[in-house]
Amino acid sequence: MTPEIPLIPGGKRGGMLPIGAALLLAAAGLLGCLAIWSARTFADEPTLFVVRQLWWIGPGIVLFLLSSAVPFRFYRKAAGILEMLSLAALAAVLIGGVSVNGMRGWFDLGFCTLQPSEFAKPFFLLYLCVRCGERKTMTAGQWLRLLAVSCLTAGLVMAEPDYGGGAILFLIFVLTAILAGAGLQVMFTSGALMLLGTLIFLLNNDYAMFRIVGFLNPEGPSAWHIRQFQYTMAHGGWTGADWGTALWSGTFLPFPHTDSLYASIVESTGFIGGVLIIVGFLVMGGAFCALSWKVRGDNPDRKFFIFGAGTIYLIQALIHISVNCVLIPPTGITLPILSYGGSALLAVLLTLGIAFSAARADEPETISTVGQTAAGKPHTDPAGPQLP
Amino acid sequence: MTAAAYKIRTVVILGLLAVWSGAAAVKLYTYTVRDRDRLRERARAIAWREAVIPARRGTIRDQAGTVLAQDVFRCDLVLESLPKSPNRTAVLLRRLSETLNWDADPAQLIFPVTLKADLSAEEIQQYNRVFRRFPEVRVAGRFERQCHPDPAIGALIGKIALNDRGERVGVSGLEQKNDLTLSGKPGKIVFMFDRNGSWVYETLRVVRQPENGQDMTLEQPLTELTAPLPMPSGEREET
Repeated sequence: MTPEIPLIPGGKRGGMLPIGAALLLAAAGLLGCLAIWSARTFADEPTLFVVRQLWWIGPGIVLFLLSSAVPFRFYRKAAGILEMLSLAALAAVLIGGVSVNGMRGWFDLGFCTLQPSEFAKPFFLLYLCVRCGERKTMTAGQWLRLLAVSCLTAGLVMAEPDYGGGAILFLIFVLTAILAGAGLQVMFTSGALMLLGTLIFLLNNDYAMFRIVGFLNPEGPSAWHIRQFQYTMAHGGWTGADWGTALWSGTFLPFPHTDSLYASIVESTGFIGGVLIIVGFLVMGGAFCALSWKVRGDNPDRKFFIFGAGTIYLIQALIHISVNCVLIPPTGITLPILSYGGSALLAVLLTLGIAFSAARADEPETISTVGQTAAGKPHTDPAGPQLP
Repeated sequence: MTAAAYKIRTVVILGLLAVWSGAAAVKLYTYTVRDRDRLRERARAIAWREAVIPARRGTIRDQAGTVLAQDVFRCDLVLESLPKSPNRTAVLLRRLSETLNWDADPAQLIFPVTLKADLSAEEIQQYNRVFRRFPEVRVAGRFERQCHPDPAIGALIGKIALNDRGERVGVSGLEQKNDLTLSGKPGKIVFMFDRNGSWVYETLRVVRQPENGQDMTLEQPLTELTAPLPMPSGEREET
């Protein structure tokens, strides 16, 4: 067994990495605030959302630092409970949640609203990574159980109805399955289930079918939203226009501060700004990938989580960008870190915080938390030491 | 799983995502650079409008400077159409009834409908606030021609009317005879509508300033003008 090597060592240098990352994330959050402000210039209350978003950056950074300071073994132990709590919250929001834009997905806490589907992403990823990391090889039954949990989690989000959020959760399962070496049978089954879920969603939500028709016929009346994406980006040109007062975003583009934020940023910063955003998210995904490569140890759940954390938000960003660039049919999904939404921002920062905790892992792991074989026995290597 | 196998998997996943990013960047290039002019032209056609700023018609005075005819600026509250959505129409009619005691059968309306004429400054502020969400109701400015109350002078001054281009032209009396001097040239503005059809005031730009009409002063005093007019000699001969 390869001994657990702390990736982020203790001491002064190791403590600086999460702080550096926190500064980078805070800068990205402030950039998002600028984009939200620019997109809302022509609204009735131009500063409403940017002020709210600014309020969330501070607690978000604190949450990031706290979650990165908690040892990963705590997350490993709590993964099942956190997933159950997450499922309970997703079910409860369907009964007692408040609707925004036709989607029953928020709890009204009085002073703010909370979107449980955003927090479901890190907890679901954690749950899958821990379950897949427990065993060296997974049986078909074990995969089916995980697939059932995935369908339940994604299905509850789709029932809000939020297709984008549900799809992201299902993609988390697919990603983890690939990392854990699931067979083709599992991949085909999950692909077929995702297709079935999409079909059921389309048949139950007329607006979703309307969007598909609009995507297939961009000149038709149902493609109005799609054309606004095109006009907004065309306004930007090479280097952007109207920075601070995004004209087309503010007057024609629906949801310029959330689901259409990328188009709004492109209007203000042009092709160059749009490419920089794409490259920024790719670099983030690559950085977390490189971080996961450096993780040593018997249990792969840490590197699965680190890679998953970076990649899943890269995928979410690419879906958002692809919707805005009319590469795929419109679906309501936000641009991570940059779009307006306190729950989304907190959930991203929580996920990245847990990833940093997994990367640090400078505390010894007990045998009980280290992986077990399919027979339920710890897969320890008698040749190597158990504890660093 | 070996570290090498894990690396290969992650590289393949990231590679696929990089290809996806490339496809998105190509689409981005298409809209921001390649098709930019065509898309901007189409966007301009649906959002930008031109409108005329009427020129103030010149004032007519008698020899002593008494005003005989002049333009006065008025603001009216105008209903230009009904919203397309039946729900919004119901809300708008209810609000019109509450605010202006205005009740009418929507089927019988001929647009534009003047809901209230000659608004005060306070009323303009109030109605702009009340009907903020309804671009169909707006405060419209216009020039109104005021004439001396004496019918004899009124007959001498003459009348103005709108021609088929919406311009005010003299159609009788001095207004007609001196139309070129009095009428001036209208200006032009461009502005943008938002998706609800409301004006985006920040985009309003004056393309051409209006040139107001020239004032004219008659050679006779008011007392002479009110006396019966002598018939021109040529006309008398003909009769």
